[in-house]
Amino acid sequence: MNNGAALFLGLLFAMACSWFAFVGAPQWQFGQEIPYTDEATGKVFPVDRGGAAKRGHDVYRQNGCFECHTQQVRQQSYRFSLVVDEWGTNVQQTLREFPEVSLVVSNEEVALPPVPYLLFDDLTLREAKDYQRRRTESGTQLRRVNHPVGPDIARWGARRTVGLDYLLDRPVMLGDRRFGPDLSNIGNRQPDPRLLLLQLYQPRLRNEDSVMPSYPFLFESLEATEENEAEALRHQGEFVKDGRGRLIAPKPEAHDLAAYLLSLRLDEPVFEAPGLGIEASDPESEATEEQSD
Amino acid sequence: MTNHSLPDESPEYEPAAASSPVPVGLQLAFFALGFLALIYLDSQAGGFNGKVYEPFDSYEVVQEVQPQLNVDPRFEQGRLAYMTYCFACHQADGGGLAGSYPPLAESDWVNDENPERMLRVIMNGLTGPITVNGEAWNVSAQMPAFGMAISDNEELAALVTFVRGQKEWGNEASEVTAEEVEAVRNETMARGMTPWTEEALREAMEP
Repeated sequence: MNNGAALFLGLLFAMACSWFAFVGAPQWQFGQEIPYTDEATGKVFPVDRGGAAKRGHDVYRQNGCFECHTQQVRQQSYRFSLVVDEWGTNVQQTLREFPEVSLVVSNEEVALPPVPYLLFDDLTLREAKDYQRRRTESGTQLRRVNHPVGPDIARWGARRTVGLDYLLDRPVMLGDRRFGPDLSNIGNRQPDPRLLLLQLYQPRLRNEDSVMPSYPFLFESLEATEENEAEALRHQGEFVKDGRGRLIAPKPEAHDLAAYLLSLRLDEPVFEAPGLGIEASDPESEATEEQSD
Repeated sequence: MTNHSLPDESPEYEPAAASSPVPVGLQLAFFALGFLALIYLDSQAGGFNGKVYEPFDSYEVVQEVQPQLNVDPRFEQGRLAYMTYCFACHQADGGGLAGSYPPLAESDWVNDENPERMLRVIMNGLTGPITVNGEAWNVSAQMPAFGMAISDNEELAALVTFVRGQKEWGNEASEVTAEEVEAVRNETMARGMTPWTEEALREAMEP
């Protein structure tokens, strides 16, 4: 071997390049992130999890939930709608400038539609800015509203996930496979802890085709007495019972896990992911949606 | 590739790698690949800014698409100041408390075309019986002087602008500038913490 030094240096160079790209550069980009404080309201983001949710993070890890569930929502694009906050004072001129708008009759009075009025939907940034720039003559106030777009956003998230969301997680459990739905916004989509517990005990109760394993060891069976009924799981108004007719109640671990799941929310806007997508949907429609998953 | 002979079978023989130059075509191809890769990186990496995520191209775009709030920052500054200094007595709706604190909402003291009287009251406080909207108030409590507490003319101007322009309370008076505040401050400086009475105000503001 006569080129040992060249070989060593070559290998070192190759390793250094990849180390720099995969470790050094991200550290330089995100290494200095600290929780962000909103100056106007004094709110801090992200909020550190409290006791039960913090323990639930460990339960989530122990049971390998991240093997089938991700905690990352992607965003494909962004669209804008234009909202009118204030109409121009001259009605004739405003109507000339906004031929899309028609007068409405209320209390036998003809007037411009009430504000805030959704003028345009699904615009690109350039189109939206164009409208804002050109239609200023009547003094009508146009406001751009940003909507994140993408299949992930439509199904699971109010916004995309960013580095800040995981700042206080140890370890971060992003997950890389989606056998089940993404959970980064589950606390918002499914705010009822009883339904989450039911799902953990027996997923097939609410959705016959669910491939999620059941976690009966997070629950204990109790004597069917009246004082145990408060804790017991119910499904469609009936108590859930095991083979011996005993009631099922969650152990502390199950409560912790539910608390952790409820703490997973994406409804706090951040600078990196401006605009919010879908509003928090009500649990009723969510239940039917998960049935079809 | 100089030595094509069979390996020497003597025990001292040590095999060695030969060297030959990389073909020029290959060098050019690598160079072109690297160049394209850097162009791609430049267009997709968002300036390597940690705040720029897909699908945004640059920090400027992220700034541009931040939600446009339907608020006036000066008005909000005034609201914050109101909630700090005034809210405890005059209440969140500006209605005051019957018998104790006169209202600011739809008050003729607030909606006066000239903000001077209101500014004087804030600077030095107010005491004694007063008349608000034609109604006589004989208040035992004395309004403290806020001139020292709110030493920033800009903040006091925002506060007065907020109270005078709060449409939800039915107030629709003109905005107040920091210069107007400063003028009143200079005039009332000597008075210090001595509160005004309605009488004294009328005398002081008489031309």
